[in-house]
Amino acid sequence: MKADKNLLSGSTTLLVLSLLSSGDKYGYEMIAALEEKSDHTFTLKEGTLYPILHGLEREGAVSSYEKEAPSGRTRKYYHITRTGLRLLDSKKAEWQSFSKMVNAIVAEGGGALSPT
Amino acid sequence: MKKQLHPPLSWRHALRRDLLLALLALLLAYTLLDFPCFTGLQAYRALERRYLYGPGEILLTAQPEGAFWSRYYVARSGGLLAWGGVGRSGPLWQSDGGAMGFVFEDPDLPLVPLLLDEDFGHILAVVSHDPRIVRVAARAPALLDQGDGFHTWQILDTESSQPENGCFLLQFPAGPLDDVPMTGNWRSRQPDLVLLSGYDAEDTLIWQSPAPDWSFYGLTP
Amino acid sequence: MPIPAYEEFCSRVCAHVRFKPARAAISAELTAHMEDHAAALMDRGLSPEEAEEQAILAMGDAGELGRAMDALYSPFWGCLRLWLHRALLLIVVLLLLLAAGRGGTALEEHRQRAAAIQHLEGQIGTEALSALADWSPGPVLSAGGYTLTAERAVLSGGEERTLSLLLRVRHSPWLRDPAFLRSLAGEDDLGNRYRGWYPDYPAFWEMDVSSAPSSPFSTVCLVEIRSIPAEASTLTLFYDRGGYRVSFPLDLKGGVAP
Repeated sequence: MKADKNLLSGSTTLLVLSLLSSGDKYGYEMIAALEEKSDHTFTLKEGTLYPILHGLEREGAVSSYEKEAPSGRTRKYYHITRTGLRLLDSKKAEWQSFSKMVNAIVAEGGGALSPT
Repeated sequence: MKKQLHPPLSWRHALRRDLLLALLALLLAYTLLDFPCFTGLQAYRALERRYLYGPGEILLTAQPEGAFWSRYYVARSGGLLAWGGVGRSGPLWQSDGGAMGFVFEDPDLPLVPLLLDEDFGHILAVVSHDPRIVRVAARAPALLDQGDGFHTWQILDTESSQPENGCFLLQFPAGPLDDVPMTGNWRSRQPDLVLLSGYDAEDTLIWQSPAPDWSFYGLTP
Repeated sequence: MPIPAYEEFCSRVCAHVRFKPARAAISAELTAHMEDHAAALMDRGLSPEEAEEQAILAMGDAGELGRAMDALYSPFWGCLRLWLHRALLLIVVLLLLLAAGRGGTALEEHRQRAAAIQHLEGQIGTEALSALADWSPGPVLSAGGYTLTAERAVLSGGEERTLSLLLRVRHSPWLRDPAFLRSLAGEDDLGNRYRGWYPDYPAFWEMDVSSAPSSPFSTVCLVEIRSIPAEASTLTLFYDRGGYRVSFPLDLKGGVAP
């Protein structure tokens, strides 16, 4: 991706794409959905959400359109495209292999409660 | 919140939209310009097709001054020699209009003339079948504007020693408004009023066309 | 109604976005987000002022956000594409205007063409009034990108007959103005030849070819061949350019009596 790699941290992109894969959402809706799903432990930094969304739109991973939100106001909705779904799959695979590696190292580090 | 009239398109959509717009513009321009040809050769090939001729083997291409058509081609195909004139409109070429003439290429004749432009450029093309001929001279009656209101019929000469593929281009030194009659038969356009002579490198006369009848002009060839 | 605090935050963000056309959209989206967030906070019991303040704080650093957005909206390419698009629109508008302007002459040309075709049809119609036979031979020849259809043939006269033929030639726009039509000649099964412009034959004018102006896709012409003996049963129209010949026959006896 062309944008600053520091902004597009792999996990945030993964979260955004996952949220959109279950349905079109507008900006604040995504933050609210994430808080709800993670029982308020996780929160997307609003400051990084929009650059990520605009960057993904530029890459063709998401598309946007205007629609009336349930609140009655007009909001810009984001929709994950087929390119985005493929990107989501690859990010998921990346994340899974990353976490497997971390788990392996942690397990090797010893400790009574190390997972297998 | 302000509702946007033109929601910003992603660059991909914008590119696609612009490409379609560009395509529309090109098609519109092409139709408005009357389906032009982009090169003179293209226009000439279209001309050939409109006469159900060819495609011919091009011997000569010329853009003589003062001529009626913008460019002339001399070609050979199926035992016929052909000349074609195409017109230019600005940087592009017209795909209609133009003119073509044909003459049977007699292999026994050392020099075969084609009348390209009688009235304006006074141009003749001569295809040579004799490799010894390096210079072709042409002579025709001419009524030239002296500028003092006085006109007489006189003999006009021209020659060429720079053939292209055995084809010589000869242009009489007269203006577009001068009269250089080259054909007595307006239907066949055969330049039977022109005396043609072919010379070799030593300036020996190899062949000369039959003497034309210039009695009407009070001249002898 | 626009809240000044949100506007102020957005303008601080957009100050870093060099590509000005993108600023409005960015401000709109961020403002909408802060409104939603504030609404959610107010639902949880905060006062409007507190909710507003929290919503703005939650957005993080205006400068950081602005710089992140600016990185995505390059002013050079953005402006270039914008101006290219505008130039394209201008070109299309100019072309449409030109087309509308030329539409006048094009319409006039079309009218003249239609009038000329009508005139030719009228001529053959007049012949048909005293005709021996009046029929539609149909498609007659396909050569070199041209398709000729004889739409109507009329045979009239007594001892010496006249054949009038309305020919429609179909072609692509680059082949409009079929020049070979001017050199059509005729030959009957008795060996008589008829020619109009063809240079090699003796100077008899028993044949006329009149064409209406071409449209990009078709040309209509009227061919008249005169002094055909009554005994002739076939007339062949041909274009012969010395070595290359296309022709089509017309059955003079088989025509339908009117």
